[in-house]
Amino acid sequence: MTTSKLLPVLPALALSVASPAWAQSSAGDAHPTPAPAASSADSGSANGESRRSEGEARPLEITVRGRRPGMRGTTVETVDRKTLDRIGATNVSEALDRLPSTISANGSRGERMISLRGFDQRQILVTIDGVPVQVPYDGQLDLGKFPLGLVDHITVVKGAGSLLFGPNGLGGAVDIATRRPGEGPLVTLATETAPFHSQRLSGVATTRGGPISAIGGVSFENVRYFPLSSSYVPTYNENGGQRENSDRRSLTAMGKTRWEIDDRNQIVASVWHLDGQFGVPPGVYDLTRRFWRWGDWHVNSYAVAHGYRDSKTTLDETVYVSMVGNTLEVYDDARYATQTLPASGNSTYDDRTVGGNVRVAHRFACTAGRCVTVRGWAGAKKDWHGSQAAAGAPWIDVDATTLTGAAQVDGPLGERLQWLAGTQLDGEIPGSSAATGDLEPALGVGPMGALTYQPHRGVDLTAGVARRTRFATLKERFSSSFGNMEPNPALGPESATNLSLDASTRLLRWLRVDVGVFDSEVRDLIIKLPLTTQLSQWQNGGRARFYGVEGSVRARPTQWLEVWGGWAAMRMRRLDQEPPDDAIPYRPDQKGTVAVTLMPIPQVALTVVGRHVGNQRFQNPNTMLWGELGSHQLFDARVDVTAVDGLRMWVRGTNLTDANVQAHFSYPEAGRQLFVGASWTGP
Amino acid sequence: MKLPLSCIVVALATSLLAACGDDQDVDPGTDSGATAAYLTVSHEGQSVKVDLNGVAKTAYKDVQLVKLSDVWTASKLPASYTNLEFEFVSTDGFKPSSKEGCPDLPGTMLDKGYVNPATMDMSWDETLGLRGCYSVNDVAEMNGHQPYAPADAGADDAAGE
Repeated sequence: MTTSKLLPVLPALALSVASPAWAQSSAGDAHPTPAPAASSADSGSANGESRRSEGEARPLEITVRGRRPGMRGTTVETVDRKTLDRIGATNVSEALDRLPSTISANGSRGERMISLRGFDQRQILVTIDGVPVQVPYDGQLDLGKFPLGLVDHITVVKGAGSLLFGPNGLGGAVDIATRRPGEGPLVTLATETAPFHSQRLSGVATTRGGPISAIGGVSFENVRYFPLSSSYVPTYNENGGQRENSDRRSLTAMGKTRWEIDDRNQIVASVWHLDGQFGVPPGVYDLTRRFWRWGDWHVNSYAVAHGYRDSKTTLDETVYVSMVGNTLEVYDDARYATQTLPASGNSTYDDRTVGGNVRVAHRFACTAGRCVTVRGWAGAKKDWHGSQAAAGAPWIDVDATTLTGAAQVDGPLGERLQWLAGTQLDGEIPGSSAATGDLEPALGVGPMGALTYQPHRGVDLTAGVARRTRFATLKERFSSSFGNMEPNPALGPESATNLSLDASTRLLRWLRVDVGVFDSEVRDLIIKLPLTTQLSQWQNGGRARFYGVEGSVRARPTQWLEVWGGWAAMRMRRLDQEPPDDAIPYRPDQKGTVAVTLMPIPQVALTVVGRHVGNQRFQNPNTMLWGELGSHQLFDARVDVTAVDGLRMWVRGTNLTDANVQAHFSYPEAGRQLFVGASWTGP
Repeated sequence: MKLPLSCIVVALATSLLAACGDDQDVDPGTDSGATAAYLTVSHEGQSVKVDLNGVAKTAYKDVQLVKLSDVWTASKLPASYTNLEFEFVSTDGFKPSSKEGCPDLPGTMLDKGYVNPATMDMSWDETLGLRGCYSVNDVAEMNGHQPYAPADAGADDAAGE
């Protein structure tokens, strides 16, 4: 079966083998787009320290400095633009899913949520250009709805390394960075299509005039459906072929302006907008199928920041407003046209967040270029949620205010040691109302420490420990879920102690190897507990432990070969339950990713990406029995050809073996898809 | 030199694809065997405890369930269920009618209602579009009675999540 499924792929692979000769004869002396200038393991690939991470962050940016203890090895990964292109992802969730310790899957709401080293997305701080982005009620947001067209790079900080980014990063932080104004090419246009069912367009333009620079971009996605694997076995709910109700259409726009007032001061303003309509594919095994659509799903984010920088001090202040809203349309049947049955109707969210933060970093006591650096972070935000369960139903309004202050000091200790110590204080003041009564504020204390030892110039070892807090989401506190949940307004925060030990080696200039072990224990875990046969409640009733080992390799032994790979073996379990109920659903025991890029001639790049995902336990919603999704492998490949200067064309395929895979029970992933695309980059 | 090496790497990648591209195995969960499953059916003072393991199962979407109309038939109560209305009661006393918009259901719907003998959870044919309140968990009783009023099955409210 496997061989037969591979047959349609062979012509593409044959093309990729043959393409060098063709490209060489037609492209002449075109500039080598894929090949970076230096043969270094650092240049333009995933993970580690990129050019951007040098120095302190600028306004509306989060950067992680690799030299800082606690931010090394596998603890930090940066996926840059070139890697985002090559790994074949189209949205932020898919991009994160290519990382060894991150899992993403479509679920019952048609949302592609992630987990990172065992922590679910509510336990991970997600920001766009440093501004928190989430549905305030849910404490998370579907990153599968964010196309990559306007994204410059994504930074993932795991476990112990996530201090100084803001509250609620219990298990880590993810920052999605858009391009800087006035930098890079003036114009970039890109289009990609999977014939007859999928189109994507994006354009970014930037300009600079004196002290003012600006950038603007638009990204459009129109997907009629995604195809299921030819091995998919039809069920009552899903015939196969074109996945039911899997269409999606969205428009994303962003703009940023930077005014460099003088050598030390600048002001940045940014706007981010996403508006879309998304089908929710029903569960193929669900006893009661849901006919849902997101008729409206939008995010608007506005931010203004001022930054100051001199030779020793950086300071910035940011204020932001985010508005997130959606309407979930519940239909009678698979025609998605009528809403006459009792369960049908519309449910609407209208949420917003207003906040701001101040960051400061000051270097002093410098000797031989190594300094002690003091950093501070203080912020406040208020989240509001408004919802209407059905037309004519009363609006529900709840809110909460979060305050955070953090301080951190790092510096050298002799020739080979670096140290870091800090703490973060998070406070939350829940909003009071007649329905909730007066609620007690909650406090979280998060100390952090890290030590780096560098026995050799190319080797360093880092040990880190951090305690983090996550406050309950408004949904966990106030949701009645149409009578199935008992609200718990006084629900307390959960906390995690994250330990990590990382080794990073760069003994060869073209080879970087990172290995890390991690161990996190979550206390007061917020879990759903049954109160009666029909009624449950979120309570601080659980404990969990996530531990494992993660490694990554990045190599560029020659100008024409680049290898990036990673492997994570993980164990996630509840400590308050006995087997088999101690399993945490949808957490694979291992995951590996490898990406190989060949550049036989400068004009051509061939990338093959393979992923292995281990066994995952889950609880069957139809029977409540524990089942298991077996391990699976997925392979993607693409060929990029730079025909003339600035013009790049590609052919790419995803799930080339057309494997029938479920990352979430009842929700099969897409089968094989082929895309063709082109991009043009102006001067 | 680059081209032959490229071919070798591509060939290796192709072999990897061929070797590893199998479909995923899925274990939906294995039932450890039949457990005691009783549903008490009552009408006009008569009450019968029906052993669900003795009632023929119906495959609804490939899950083996017991149809509520078959439970009524197995109870051997004399009335016709299509002329009655039914309330369902969980082990802790929950009844859908305790919630607004969830009145007792007409017996004509029993043909499209199911109980899972492994969990004693109820489900309904999705074409009915019933609200979640009727999916009674750990159901213990099915009580038939003469209709109180024309059934409207809570048609005025919508539900999402």
